[in-house]
Amino acid sequence: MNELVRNRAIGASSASASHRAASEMVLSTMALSETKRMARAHSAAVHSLAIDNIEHRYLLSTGADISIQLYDLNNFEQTATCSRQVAPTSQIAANTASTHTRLVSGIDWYPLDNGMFTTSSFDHTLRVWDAESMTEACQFDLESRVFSHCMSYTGGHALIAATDESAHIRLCDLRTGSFAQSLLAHHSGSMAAAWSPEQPFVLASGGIDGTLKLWDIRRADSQLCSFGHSGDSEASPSDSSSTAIGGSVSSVLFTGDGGRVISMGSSGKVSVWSIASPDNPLVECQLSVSKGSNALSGSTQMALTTATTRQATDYEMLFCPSGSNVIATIDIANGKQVASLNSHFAPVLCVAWRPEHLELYSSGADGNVLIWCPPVAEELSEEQRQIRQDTWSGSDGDDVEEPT
Amino acid sequence: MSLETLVTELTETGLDSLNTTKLQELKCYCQQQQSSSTDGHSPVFSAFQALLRALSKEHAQIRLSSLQAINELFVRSHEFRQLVVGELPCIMGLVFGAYQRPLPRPSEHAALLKQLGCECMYLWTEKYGAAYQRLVLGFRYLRYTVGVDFKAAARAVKRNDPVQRERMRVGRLENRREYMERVLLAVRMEFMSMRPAIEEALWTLNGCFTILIPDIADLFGDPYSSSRRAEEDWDADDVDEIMAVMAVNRHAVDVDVNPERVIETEENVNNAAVYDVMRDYLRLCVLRYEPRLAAWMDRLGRLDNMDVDELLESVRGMQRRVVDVVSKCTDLGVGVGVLHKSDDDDEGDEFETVPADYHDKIRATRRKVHNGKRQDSEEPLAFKRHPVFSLLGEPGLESDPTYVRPEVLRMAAPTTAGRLIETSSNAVEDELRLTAPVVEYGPDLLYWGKSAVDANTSGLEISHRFLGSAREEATVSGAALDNLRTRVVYYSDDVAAGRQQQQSPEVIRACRAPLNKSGRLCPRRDRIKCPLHGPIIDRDDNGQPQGGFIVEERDVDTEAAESSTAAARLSTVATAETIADVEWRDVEVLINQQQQRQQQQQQRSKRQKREEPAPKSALVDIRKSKSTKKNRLLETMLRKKPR
Repeated sequence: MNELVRNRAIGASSASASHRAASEMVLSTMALSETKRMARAHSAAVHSLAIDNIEHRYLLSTGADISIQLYDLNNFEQTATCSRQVAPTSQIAANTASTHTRLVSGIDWYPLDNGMFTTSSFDHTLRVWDAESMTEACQFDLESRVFSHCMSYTGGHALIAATDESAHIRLCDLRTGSFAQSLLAHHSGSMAAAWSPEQPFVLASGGIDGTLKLWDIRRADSQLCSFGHSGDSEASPSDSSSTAIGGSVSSVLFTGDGGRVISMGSSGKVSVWSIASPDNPLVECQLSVSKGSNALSGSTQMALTTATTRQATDYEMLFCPSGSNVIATIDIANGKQVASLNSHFAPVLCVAWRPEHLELYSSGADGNVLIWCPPVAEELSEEQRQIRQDTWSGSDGDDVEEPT
Repeated sequence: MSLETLVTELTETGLDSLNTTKLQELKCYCQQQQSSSTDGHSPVFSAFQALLRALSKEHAQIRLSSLQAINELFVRSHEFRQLVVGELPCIMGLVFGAYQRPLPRPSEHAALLKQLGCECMYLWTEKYGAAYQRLVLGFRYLRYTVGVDFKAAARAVKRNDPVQRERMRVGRLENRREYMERVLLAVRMEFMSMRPAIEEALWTLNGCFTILIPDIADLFGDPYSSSRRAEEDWDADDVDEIMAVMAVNRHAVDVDVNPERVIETEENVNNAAVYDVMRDYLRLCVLRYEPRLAAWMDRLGRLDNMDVDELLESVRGMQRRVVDVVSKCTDLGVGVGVLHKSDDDDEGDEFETVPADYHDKIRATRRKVHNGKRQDSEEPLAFKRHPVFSLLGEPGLESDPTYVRPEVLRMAAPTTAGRLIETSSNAVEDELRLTAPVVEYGPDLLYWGKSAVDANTSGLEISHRFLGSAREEATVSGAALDNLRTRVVYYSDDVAAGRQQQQSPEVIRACRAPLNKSGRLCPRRDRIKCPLHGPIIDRDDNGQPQGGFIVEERDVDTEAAESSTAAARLSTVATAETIADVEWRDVEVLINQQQQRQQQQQQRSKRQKREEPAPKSALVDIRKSKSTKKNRLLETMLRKKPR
């Protein structure tokens, strides 16, 4: 750190480089937060997390136990055993009459207002909820299991792109309550999709067949390009998928500038593609995935640290669930795995970045939601410090009085 | 000693608990400032790595010992805790078994390992969970996802926690104290409320006695005593005392007493009212007050460390007086009949008549167990009977040749018949009686000498609906009467044998060989040989055979013979009365003999030790195939095949 400051002071490194280095230094030390904890609210795997886009304060979680929990992240309660704990402020219990009947695969806030959120489920429905009263507003029946859904942050339209087992990606229009469009995208269904943060009508989608496609929904033919193909979509998808994407696409993400698409394959391959040159990935990173782990056969959610300025030099760190108990921290500029966050006792399914707080939230198949933050941001309580002290007995040879 | 060998020696003992000195060495190693190893890791890190390697060995006993060592260091070092927390999934997999990687053999130690793992996880989470969040997550994972049951572990941890144990002990003491206070209060209230009634009964009964019994002062024509009586009021007790002293010392006191007047036991028209009153109060005393008092005594006797002496004393005094009065009534011949009569007409018999000495016995034994200091004061309530009426209850009275058992006339009806015959003095009868056989009383004797036995003893007239009424003299026929008069004796081998067996039933002893797993003794009862442990022999409390082996017995025999011959020779030693009489040469021989014997014993013990060297490690050899039926059969078959 001192060297960094010195280099910046004498002008040896540019402002952006210093910024990068400092960010990397802080973000690579991310660890499990000891001072803040999430209460255990789910009894089964937590498949999806969503932090609101406006205040970055409210967290939604849902998963295999069908219940939906809403947390206020600024509202801590003091507990006897740990210093601060976030408990759900409200919830939709699993046995409520009008709720999902199968695993809830995805949850998302309405990007422009915290009064509404959407969920997609294996019970073939996509539901819209009123966050205030925690009741259902409307629902779309997609007639097949929905893996994920997403909305555009730009506010240019109110379309929800839902990816399901069918060959189509359906666009559900919140304004009319009906399907606006169907994109014939992937033969065997699609697992993940993402709207561009810059252009409201640009959508990226990843299929189970291992193809990653870019769409402009306004165009008649819709499809802009397919990543990892040299312009020719005639080649058999299974061959190319094994090399370009690495198995079925489990997660798709746009970078903050909207110029790059990040995809993760089920074999643990993370690729960064440029929209300008879709043929070859800019950066590739192969995560170590344990053999036989099938956690990535479903959809997962990656998270990217948000850029403060829209510059190419902005430092962006990718956190991705690697299919095992570990969250991999990847520098997307060079594809290097900077660190691995290891505290889940079952495969990690979802991570969410909380902007402006340097906090990462992750959930996994063990039903826990964990908070990660750089250790420098933490101040242990007196009690915790006491517990963390060594308690060697006074003399080496005598420890009879020591309670065990 | 290097760390690796230290950890190996610590964990591969195969014992249930760790070697304290080795553990101490490991702790010392961890507390060193700089590591002796060259790789630059801290000593705690090296120790953790070594223990983790030991934990991953494929042997449940080694894993168990390793986990114990890990727990020891875990509760001490923050660095060690962080390392353990970092490797928690791996450690959990090794301790609880992972998918397709079950715990190694031996299985009973694997179960112990799991149990210890539960206890460790519970304890760690409870103590350190606040500062190490991953511990909580691991605990949750085990509990909710894997489904490990931590209830038993929680109980074990609570049980072993000294604070909890102390709290429970104090709670128990508190409960007991409260209970005692309640009991004391209840007894006191009851006693206070019933006291006047008892007093009244006693007073009345005593009054009745004075009416029925001539005053003792009237018996003595002694002017001194009468004058004394005139001066001061005599207590009944004082008179009792005098009588007691006189009775025991058997002074030659000439008392001119009209024998009919001493005890006026006959109930007649004149004193019928008195008797009725006595009966009423006696019934109250016997049925109500006595059991009550006994119950109070019992309850008070159970209270220890309480201030009950005063109450106890008053209750005991009351009980003594009641018993005294009741015995007096019995002496007067009121008691027994009253009790029997009262059975049918006293409907309020809510108290079980418990024999008083039953409680006394219980109390006495309880006191002996509880506090020995009160034991002396607590004589079982052997009340001194005040011999006002007679020396009836006196224990040594029967052996006194001057004593003639008094006849209680009211009771005499059934028994006097025999006695009258006995006492009737007829020379011929006496002659006959000398030679007459003594026959047990039976039904034949009942009908002996009766010529006609009434068949209908019910007193009702039997009249049949169709056959009409029976004959007037419904008597047993002659043949039947003869049958009745015949004594029937059954002689049977079975009966005789059975009687013999009852007298000395054969005791089949238990085998009592020590059992391996449970540590108890074999409870099988066989006559000669236990199918599992061989012939049944004498064994001590631990199941070890008593009375050595045959070879040793012979040794002992020869030694004993030698020593006896020596003793015979060393007559001076054997017969010496003072030390000066001893011939020192003889003593020398004795001492030599003793030394030789000691040496022999030492040699024998050495030989035994050499034969059984202590096993280096108690680890179970898991490579050795289990000796199951199938394996043994296979072994035999494979061995025979080549031939």
